[in-house]
Amino acid sequence: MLLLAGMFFAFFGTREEVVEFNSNVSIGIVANNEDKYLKMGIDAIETLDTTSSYLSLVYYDDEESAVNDMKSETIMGYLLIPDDYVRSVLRGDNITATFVSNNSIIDMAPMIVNDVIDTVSDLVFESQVGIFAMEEFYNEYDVKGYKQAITDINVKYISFVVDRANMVEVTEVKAYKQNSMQGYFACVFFVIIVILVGVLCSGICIKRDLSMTRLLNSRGCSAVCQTFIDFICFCFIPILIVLFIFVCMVLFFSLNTCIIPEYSDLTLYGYFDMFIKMIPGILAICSLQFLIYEFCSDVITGSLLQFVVSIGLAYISGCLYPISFFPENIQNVVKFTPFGVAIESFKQISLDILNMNNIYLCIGYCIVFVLLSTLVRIIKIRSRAV
Amino acid sequence: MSLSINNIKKNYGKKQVLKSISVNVEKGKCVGILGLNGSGKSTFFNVLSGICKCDSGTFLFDGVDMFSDKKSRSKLLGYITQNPPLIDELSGLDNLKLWYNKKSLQAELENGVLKLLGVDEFLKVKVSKMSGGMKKRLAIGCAVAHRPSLLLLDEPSAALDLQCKERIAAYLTQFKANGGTVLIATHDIQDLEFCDKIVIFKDGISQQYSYDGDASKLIAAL
Amino acid sequence: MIITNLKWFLAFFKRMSRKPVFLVTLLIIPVICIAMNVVSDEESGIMIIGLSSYDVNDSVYKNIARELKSESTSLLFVEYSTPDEAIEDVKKGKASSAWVFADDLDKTMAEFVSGNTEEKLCNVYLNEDTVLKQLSREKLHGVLFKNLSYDIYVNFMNSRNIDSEYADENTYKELFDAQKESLSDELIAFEFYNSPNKKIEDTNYLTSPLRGLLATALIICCLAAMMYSLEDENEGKYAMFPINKRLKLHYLSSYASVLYVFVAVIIAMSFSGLLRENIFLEIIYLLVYCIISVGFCVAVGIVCKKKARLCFAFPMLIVLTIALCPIFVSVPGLEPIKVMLPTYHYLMTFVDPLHFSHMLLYAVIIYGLDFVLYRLLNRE
Repeated sequence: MLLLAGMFFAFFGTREEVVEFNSNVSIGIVANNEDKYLKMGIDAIETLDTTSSYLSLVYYDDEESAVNDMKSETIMGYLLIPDDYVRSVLRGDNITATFVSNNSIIDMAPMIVNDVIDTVSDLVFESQVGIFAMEEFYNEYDVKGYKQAITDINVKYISFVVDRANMVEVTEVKAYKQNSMQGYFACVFFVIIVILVGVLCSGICIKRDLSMTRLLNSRGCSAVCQTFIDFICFCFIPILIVLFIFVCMVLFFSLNTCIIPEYSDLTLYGYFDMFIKMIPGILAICSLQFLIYEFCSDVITGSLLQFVVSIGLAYISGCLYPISFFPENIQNVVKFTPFGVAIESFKQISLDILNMNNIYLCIGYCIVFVLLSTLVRIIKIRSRAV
Repeated sequence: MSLSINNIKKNYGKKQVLKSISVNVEKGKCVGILGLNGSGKSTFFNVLSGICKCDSGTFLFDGVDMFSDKKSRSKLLGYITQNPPLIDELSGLDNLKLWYNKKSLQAELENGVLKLLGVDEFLKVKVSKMSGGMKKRLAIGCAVAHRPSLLLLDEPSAALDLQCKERIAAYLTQFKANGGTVLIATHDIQDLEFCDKIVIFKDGISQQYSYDGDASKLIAAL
Repeated sequence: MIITNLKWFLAFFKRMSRKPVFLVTLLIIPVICIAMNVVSDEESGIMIIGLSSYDVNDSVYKNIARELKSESTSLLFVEYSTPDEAIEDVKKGKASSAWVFADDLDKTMAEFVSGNTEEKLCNVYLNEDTVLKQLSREKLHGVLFKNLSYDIYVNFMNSRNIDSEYADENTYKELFDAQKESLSDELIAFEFYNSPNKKIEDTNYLTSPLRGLLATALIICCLAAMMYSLEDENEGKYAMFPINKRLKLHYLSSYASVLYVFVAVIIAMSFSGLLRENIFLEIIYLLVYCIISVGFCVAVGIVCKKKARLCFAFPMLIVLTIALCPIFVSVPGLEPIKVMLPTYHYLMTFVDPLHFSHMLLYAVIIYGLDFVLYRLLNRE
């Protein structure tokens, strides 16, 4: 199954559809179609406003249809505009429209939308303040030309709102070597594969009774020797699987265009070099798994503990969410966890900017965990329990 | 005849494990079943206990058709497997509580089968910490909780010390004396001295054997 | 029969309490949740945006920076003492973009409104303009416009050449401030569907996957219990039970383990603030989830028949659960596979409470399937 996964990874690494996801955000509008002011406003947004480049509006006559589309994730949410809303805004009565968001388990999208909603609210409100302040002045001090002034100030504000992107200049800077999104997830994929292989090897690694261990010990094969050999055998399998994935990558990427920038234009030597450099990271992950197995006496508890620890560490190490999502002090700590070190070294290897400190850290973890495993093995051999 | 097992046949796919097995014995007697490894002794016991169905044959005990009357079978039959059916993490007492109610457990521990087997000596010990003999005795104690009349024992004395074997033998003697019937599948010649009848399983067919104490003749017959 | 079942349930329950690794796992679950809850209180964001100015002491810039840092829920704003530092961090990938404000913003804004300058109010430096960055720039537009609005109004008033003794900046400011006080600024309210009391400030993207992870932990423990049960059956511990009675032993073993996890999950949820407003409803949903999880795990166990096969299927099932259920991402499509996973149904009740009926239907189907599969695959 893992071999299949590797082949799929290599295959999808050439599929452009993976990268070309729908970049538009869809939002529903539930409002009275007869309201001409509303229609004007929405038309203006669609034709003039900069949001039209990334926001698409979908119209609904009734709330039920919008709710159904929201539940099926066709739209992210819908704006429920009460009757006479625009007129109330023009009057300054400011009845509230409601943006109803999907009750998502993953709270990121609603948070982003909430920020945008706040901005829209601010834009309209600030415009209102200026316009009504002008109105108040004209009315209170009986200034002539009120009607024209109203029209002119509305136009002025609308032009600033619609053209608000003009306040800002966007400059693209040439970044230093950074992982693309595809490259980052490729590194995460390798980490997950190594973790899964480790979990699947529970049957091989966990010894229910120590009779073989004790026999070998009595025949001169010490706990250190046994642990070392067991560890090498344990690491052999994920290394072999990763090698197979690389072979698939070489085959697929030579025949098709690779959509992962870090792996495109690599020579055979380049792939081989990358694979060799990844071995310390693989060893760091495997050594932690090996240590966990030494503590367990049966396959079931071994798999259980392995999964709980792996999922927990994978989560904070950036396998499931990008590491940048976490607070800075967590990011600083995670850089030194076995999984964090492994991901970081994989990222650097894919960019060909490997920092040897990461490699030393990987090897260091490997040595420490293997030594601890040896200690546990010695204690188990000497214990009276069978 | 109290126990009448006739012409039991069992196939696993194309392989015919039991071709024609028949065992007949009166109440209060013990039958020893011998055979080489893979001769079908455990399969035979599995068929009798209802773990698997046979292809043909009859099994009557005290006039009751044990294949069709499952309720009676579970009441009258007790089966002690090779691997003791005990939960390792629990103590002996906790395992016994699964099979006995409070009253009967108390009674058996004080002056019954559990006392005879010596199970009362290691009630608080966790099963994972028990020796093979202790586990076997505890397993027998669990299997006879419902006071069966027919006992099936699959290699009861495998890997047991002499004291354990003695205790089990003592229990089985009492069981026979109370009118119970015993079927023992064994490789242990010591067990044969306890048996009233010996049946050999060879090539899926049962043959009665008269044991005269000559072990080499017995081995040749297998 | 009830007493026998209860005896076996208690025996399995006691057995699980004697497994140190299982207990450690149960302890880890709430500890991780509490830790994530603590971590989520710290400053974090989906995107890091660097703030700087050519004059960091400019009062308008300081106000803008303060406002941005206090208001946003999804973006993390970090101030830099110089624009070069901010741009450098964008190049290094430490920040998604850098917003560098013009110096003397007050004057620049006035000139911008009057059209006397081509200078922009803010320079945005980024390495790739994505939809997310465009959305985040609306925040910048909003906060700039807040400060610009007064300048637009004053510029307009000045351009009208009003013949009035009151036509001065003081009066304009007074009226502007008065309008700001009197008008309601909540033109659009944000609401979650079917949860009007849930506020966006109470949500956190770092803790939102915890519910899904807890549900996954329950499935993991349930599968582990089923593995133990299969191991017992394969070792002959159920030999004294007729084959058709052994299914109940699998259920009893799984329920004994699930009970522990249920308590651990409730404790974890209450300490990490994940419990729904209606705690009774939460417990009901979780109980039904436990029931369908046991049904699912027993079905998988019946199909696998041996512990080794279930050990092999176990990681695949968990990966499938994490990938397809809305824990970290919502994957579109693959509905036929999603509906087979109990975690999917449980998490969907959070999105749409009507999905509870799907959970109940799933329970009926899965237990029926258990019964049928067991009969088919375990003939005497």
